[in-house]
Amino acid sequence: MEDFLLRLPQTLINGLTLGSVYALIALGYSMVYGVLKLLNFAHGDVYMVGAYVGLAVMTVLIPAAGAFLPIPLLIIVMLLVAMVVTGVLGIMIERFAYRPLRNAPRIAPLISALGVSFVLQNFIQLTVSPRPLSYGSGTLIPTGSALMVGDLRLQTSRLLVIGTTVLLMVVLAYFVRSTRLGRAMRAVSQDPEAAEMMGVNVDFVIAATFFIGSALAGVGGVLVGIVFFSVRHTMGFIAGLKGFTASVVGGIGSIPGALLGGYLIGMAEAFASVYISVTFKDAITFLILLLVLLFRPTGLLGKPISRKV
Amino acid sequence: MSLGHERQIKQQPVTEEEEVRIGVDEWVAQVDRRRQQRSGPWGQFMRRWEAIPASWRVALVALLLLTAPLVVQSPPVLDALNLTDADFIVRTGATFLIFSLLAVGLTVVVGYAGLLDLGYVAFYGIGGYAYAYLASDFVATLGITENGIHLPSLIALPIIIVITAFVGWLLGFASIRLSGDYLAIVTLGFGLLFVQLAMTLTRVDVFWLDRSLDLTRGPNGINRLDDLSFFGFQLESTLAYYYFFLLLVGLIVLIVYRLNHSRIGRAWRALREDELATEVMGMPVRRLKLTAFAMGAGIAALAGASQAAWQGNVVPTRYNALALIDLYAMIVLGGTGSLPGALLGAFIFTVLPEVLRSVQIASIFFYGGLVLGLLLWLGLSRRFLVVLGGLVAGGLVFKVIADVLWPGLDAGVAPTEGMVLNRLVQEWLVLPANFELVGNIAIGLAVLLLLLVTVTTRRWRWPMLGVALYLLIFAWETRLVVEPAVTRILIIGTTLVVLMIVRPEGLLGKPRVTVV
Amino acid sequence: MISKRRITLFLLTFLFAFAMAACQPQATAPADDEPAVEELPADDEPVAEEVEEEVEEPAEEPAEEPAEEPAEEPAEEPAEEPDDEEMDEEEAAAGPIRVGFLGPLTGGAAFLGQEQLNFAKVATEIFSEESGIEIEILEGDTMIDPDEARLVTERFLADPNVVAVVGPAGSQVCEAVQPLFAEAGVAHVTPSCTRISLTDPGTETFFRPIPHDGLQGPTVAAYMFDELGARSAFLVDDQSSYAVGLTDEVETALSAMGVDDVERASVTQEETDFSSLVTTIVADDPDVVFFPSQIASQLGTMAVQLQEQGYDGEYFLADGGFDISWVETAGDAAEGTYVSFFAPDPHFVEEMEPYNERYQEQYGDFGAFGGPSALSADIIAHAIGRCVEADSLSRECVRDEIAATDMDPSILGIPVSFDENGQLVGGEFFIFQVQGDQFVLVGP
Repeated sequence: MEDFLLRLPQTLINGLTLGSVYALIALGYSMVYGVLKLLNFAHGDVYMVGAYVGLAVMTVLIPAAGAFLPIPLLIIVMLLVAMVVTGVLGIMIERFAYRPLRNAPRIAPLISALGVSFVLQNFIQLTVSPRPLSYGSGTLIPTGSALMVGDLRLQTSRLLVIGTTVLLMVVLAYFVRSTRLGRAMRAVSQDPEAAEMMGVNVDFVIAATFFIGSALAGVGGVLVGIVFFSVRHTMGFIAGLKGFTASVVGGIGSIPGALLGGYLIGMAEAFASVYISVTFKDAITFLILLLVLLFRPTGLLGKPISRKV
Repeated sequence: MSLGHERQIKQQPVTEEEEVRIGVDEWVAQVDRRRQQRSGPWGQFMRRWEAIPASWRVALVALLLLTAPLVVQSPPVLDALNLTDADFIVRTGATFLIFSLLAVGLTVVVGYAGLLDLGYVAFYGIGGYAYAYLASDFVATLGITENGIHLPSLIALPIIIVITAFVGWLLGFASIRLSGDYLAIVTLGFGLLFVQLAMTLTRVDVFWLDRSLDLTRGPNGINRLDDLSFFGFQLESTLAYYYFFLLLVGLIVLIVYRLNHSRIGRAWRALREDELATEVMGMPVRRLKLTAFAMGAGIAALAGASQAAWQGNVVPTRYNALALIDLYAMIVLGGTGSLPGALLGAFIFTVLPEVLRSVQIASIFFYGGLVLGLLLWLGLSRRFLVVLGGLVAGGLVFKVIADVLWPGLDAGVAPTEGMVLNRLVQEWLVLPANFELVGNIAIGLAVLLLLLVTVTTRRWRWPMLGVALYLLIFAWETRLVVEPAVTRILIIGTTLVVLMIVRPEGLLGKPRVTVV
Repeated sequence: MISKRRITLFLLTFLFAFAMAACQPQATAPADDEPAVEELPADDEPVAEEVEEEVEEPAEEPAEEPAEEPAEEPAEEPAEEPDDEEMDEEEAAAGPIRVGFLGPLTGGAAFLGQEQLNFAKVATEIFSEESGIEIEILEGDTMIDPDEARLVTERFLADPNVVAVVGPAGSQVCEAVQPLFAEAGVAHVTPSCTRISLTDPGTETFFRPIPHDGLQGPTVAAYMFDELGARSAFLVDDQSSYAVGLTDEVETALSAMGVDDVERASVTQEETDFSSLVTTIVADDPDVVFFPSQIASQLGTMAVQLQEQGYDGEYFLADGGFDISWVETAGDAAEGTYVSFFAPDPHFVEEMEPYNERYQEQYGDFGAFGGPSALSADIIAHAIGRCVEADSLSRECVRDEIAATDMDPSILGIPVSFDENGQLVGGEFFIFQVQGDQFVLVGP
């Protein structure tokens, strides 16, 4: 029992960090699914591109960092540039790989998404490097810098990840609830045709959704780079799967669901690996997924499927 | 049915799918039919192909597949190709057949019954591992038997099929309440879990032994499996396996074809089109779904076991998500729900990557694809010639200007020599000394410009197209030819996207009209 | 309708022209010094010609078309592949000497395969410059998949100009292709398969110029036990064939020394976050953590997370850790880490310098995987050299000459010769420690 308590705080932090990243990715899946009913399997690779963009910005700006660019500002610049680049990338993927297929069988965009994913991965391998690259520990946030709460060490980089995620969620929630575009998104996700008849520019709303979803994944990529250093051109695949799982557990199409699912999967992994077995953490996570879906077939916060007759 | 409808039937041979239409009324059917009038070179080709009677078509394909290995292995052909043997061609053929088998099984689940089963490769894997258990020395290491288990194939294969079909049934049973994407994620999880367990079940404690057991040998997999043998005749060479696989594919295709045209096939299609309506009609939806799952799993297991016997080993990576992606790409590319489509998809997806291994072929593919794409887009119009001619002339002018204005820029050294075509093109390009960075930028720019060209309708898109093509060719000659392995995957990826956009219903699929 | 037929015809002629262009022998001495501009007009001519052709041909072709096209479709496999070999064939007269390369060139392990490939290229280039014997490296992407590897291998074996092969990487892949090579009598020299069983017994055609796990495992375990005084250990593998094999050997050796307090865990190669693993490790509080991952940046992440969570034991790596890049990124978390590697530092081996320089110049930074690959290529190149000198270049000759290799020192600084199983004779592992930003030899 003592042993259990000893490891608890660190496990929680591990889970929250991982969960934040999953949540950021899951949001993109969920939002896109909400408006288009489409699984964007290239989403994981958008996240990967985000990590590389962040690294590129860092490499370019780091000489200036000491002189006149404070580190927090540098991190914000990295996040912003990555958001813009991945956002635009998301719009492009939608425009060129999905829009022509909007009325096609549901499985067709899945395959074109795979094509996009192949291209993105190998493009990065070709133009950047097949070698895993590293943000480097201590380049942005000094190694070992932490906030001490009693005996509890809260690593600064992890706090940054969790904080940024929560902040973005709040902004997103406000955006979806209260802005014109946010309302338009909700309208499109409920009934695209009706929304169009009410004067909503559906194409624009879909593009915006892709921009936001992809930008969030880009942020996830940069944050992973900052907190775990290592980036590779194949990192998107597994992360994409985890994000997808998270969004399904939470109820695909639901934004709070994606958040919940992300943290749930992150926590499940952390707890499973610390208290049960590192080796079988993915298996355990899968069992949790299966259990959740057995009792709630449309995810935790998903709406029950209503079938039109 | 109206008269016009019948006349059209005369013009076009009736294909299987058209006999039964559920949820599609007359008007929609006609719209559908009109949309099916394929156009373009592919449509033209397909019409000619379909004009041949069905039995002849089947016979022709079968004959080709039967004789192909003999032809490529005959001494004159080998001499002509300057090969010492054609084993790799036969091996590619056998791989194609195995994937055909898998694709046919997946067609039953996804194409006929409409269940998005992403755990399909797990059954393939279970078949393989089951074969490893039943037909090798491996079990001996588990302390159960002395020399392992060596069942004859005629006993082992049916056992494996039945077991795996049962597992498939179980998975279906567990996820019966789920539909669509939720079913997809659960089955996907199952597939990944299988690979994960195959990787890590290497130290399992059991009660009857005081040591832990290695159930799967982890990433190394289980080696030295028995060859398949029937009635004392043992399959040893790849060629023998090729013919065995061919037999299997023929058999399974026949069974699936018959099944699809029986009551259960029609019920599956009904299920795919509208689950609720099917249920209301009093169909046993639950049992139909489970049958589809079990059937797909059984076929996958057969493929897995035969594959394992042929390769002589099982490794977890064979059954990973990449294999799943390949399989789905095959059936979607060929046309979901079409048996010939599944075979064609499997053929393209096993042969194309092999063909692209050669830089020369990849170059032909690239330049051919460039010109063909341009041609299909613009037609054989004056504009096409202007673009092509403008590109060539523009390149020359650019080269001259570059040579005059900045003499040092064009170092003229190409990274590879390649074939005649490549050398000609390299002479035409301006090649700076440090091509790597420039080449990388060129790839990105070219892709961007090309994408822009496809969306804008302004007049300046033609010059832009020229610039994009120039950059693309530049990138090809400086970067892509140098890294054939990466280029190969890039080409496959691009082909997937383009094909999906050009023919969303797949090559042999039929566009479906849904009633809203 | 007519326009469609014209298009089809055009396509056919165009493809035909392409095939013709492609099939021309390239061996007809590339005239490099020819002024560029003179060649140029040739380039736009083909286009014009084809348009003319298209007008001439309609009379003949329509008859053929329907009959041919359907037939060609399913027959593509036999019909098309021959095409690509055809060019190879005509070069055969000129007889380029080819060496195949097998390794993962795309996907997750591409960093390893690409580095091996490029080092092999550098080694053959340098050899060519010294000896005047041109050797061409053929790329074969295995994706670390045995099935894929068998296909590429048979492709290489079918090409009579391929005299030997560098590779493959990954023990399970080596095991899969070993019999194919043995049957064809073509030598292959692997720079990275370390499983013991591959040379126990080996095949006539399998050569391994690096020591195997059976040597590394005990060396590592002995160093942990004797020098570090480790009485408990936490071993982590990354589910690669290499890491699992090596970790198993270390575990066996440790338990033979009486260390029973050994924990095992395995993570996937795609793992980016080790913090939960580290939490488990810290709670277990072992004397030493062993993590033979090949991915340098992962090692850095793990090192930093170990330090962050207050782990105070030793951190022990193998082969893949011998890469200064992770040390640089991990900062002081890397300090004091042990790494076992079979050669003296290839970055500083005198004999390797020209290779390193050229690699740096052409391909940029590199890790620890290239050295053995350059060595393998160099062994093959020298064997080819001796065969060419004796004027008896053949697969058998190259194989025999590789078997007779006796380099002292080789380009990696260590002496190289093979025993009857194709295993490197002798060979030992060196233990390095990270001190500052370099690896310092500390054992054995």
